[in-house]
Amino acid sequence: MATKVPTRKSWESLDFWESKAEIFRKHESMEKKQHPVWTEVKLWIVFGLIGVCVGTIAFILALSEEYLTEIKIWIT
Amino acid sequence: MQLQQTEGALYTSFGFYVVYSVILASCAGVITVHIAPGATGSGIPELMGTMNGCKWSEGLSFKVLVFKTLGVILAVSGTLCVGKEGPLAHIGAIMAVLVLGLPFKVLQQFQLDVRKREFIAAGISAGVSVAFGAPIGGTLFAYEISTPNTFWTFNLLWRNFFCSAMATFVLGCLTSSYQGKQITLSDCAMLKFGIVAQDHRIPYYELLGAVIIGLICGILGAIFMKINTSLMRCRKKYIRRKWQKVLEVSLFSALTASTFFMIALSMDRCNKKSDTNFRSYHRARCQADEYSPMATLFFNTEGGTIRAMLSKGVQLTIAENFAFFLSWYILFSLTYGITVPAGVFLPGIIIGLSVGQLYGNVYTYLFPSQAEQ
Repeated sequence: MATKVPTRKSWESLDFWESKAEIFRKHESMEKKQHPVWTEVKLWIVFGLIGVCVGTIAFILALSEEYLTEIKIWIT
Repeated sequence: MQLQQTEGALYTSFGFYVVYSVILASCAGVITVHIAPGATGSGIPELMGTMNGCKWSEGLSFKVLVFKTLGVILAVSGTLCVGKEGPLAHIGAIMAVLVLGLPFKVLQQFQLDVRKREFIAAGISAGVSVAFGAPIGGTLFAYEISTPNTFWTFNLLWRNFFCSAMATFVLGCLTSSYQGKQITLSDCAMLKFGIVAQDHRIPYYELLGAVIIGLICGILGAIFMKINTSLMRCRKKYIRRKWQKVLEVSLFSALTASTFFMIALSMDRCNKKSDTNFRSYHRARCQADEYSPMATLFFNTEGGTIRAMLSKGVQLTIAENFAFFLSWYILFSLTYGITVPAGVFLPGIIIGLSVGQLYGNVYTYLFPSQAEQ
């Protein structure tokens, strides 16, 4: 009877040890050589944008929860 | 909330309360079981794996973002003893991945798997920050759960903090604008504890109280783990079909709503409103200028319950306190693990608060003269 051999078709892993990820190291050094300050600024802008999006979602979530609870109390 | 006085009307109120809760919770269950299984639970253990090298594509998609948000709103509003703070970390992580995937040329250079981990960490930080209004706490939480932190740099720590601060600021601005209040940075979070006026020095003997409360909470935590682990084994064994999972969610919602309503009604007592700053009083069957302590605790949102427990205006007896603690602890231990988006932070805080308040009430009963000082 053939045994099942686990394959990696359903999952894969990222480069675990970043300092050994050759492609990333090359990409990062090239990035920094070409636009050292601009790359950093862009990163900060994107991180800020993530913050804005998460804050907005949290507001919608809090408002919806309060609204639904108010309805529950109102119909009771 | 004002409950009806006659027996028939009271049954109707009870029926509406339970049915409404069950409908909301069942919707959360259907969404999670049938549409977005990646939205189950808090998502934090999976994110720990993702940040340490495992790929979790099915949990970081737009579909999961929409249904996790919807599911957590429905689950919490459906009177289930679960929190929304853990799922917020997951929502933040998905948001970060989606922002990174936007079709802008500026973002193309960051669309690398290794960079993705940094953005996910930022999303988690922002999610936890908005929950508690704590950007530093959120950043440190992301650092902690990304152990062994092979991708962390000092720069990343600052960028994460900036992301968290932005999220908290935006939430504060939106909430203040919606409520028509002046924008304040000291009170901008989903869970507001309020401002505690420190008008007396804490004596040293109260440290003993902190040790006792810590010990009790530690033991309760261990018991919770034991119960939850056994229950999860049973769930894995017996609740395997999709309809069974949805039915389980509905049953737990009905059980929780019935228990809360019954306790609030059977321990109904009227007190005069004393705290003008606290606005979430529930009167149940009391007069307009009065409130029912148990209705105020049970019929509020989880954030409202926490504010009520911290407010000096809501006074509980030892029996009320014990009933509240026991109902939350048992229901939380049984509920956590059902197939809905759910977190453990808020229920943990509520149970911890009730233990602390119970200690304070017992201490006041045993040593009234010392408590007055």
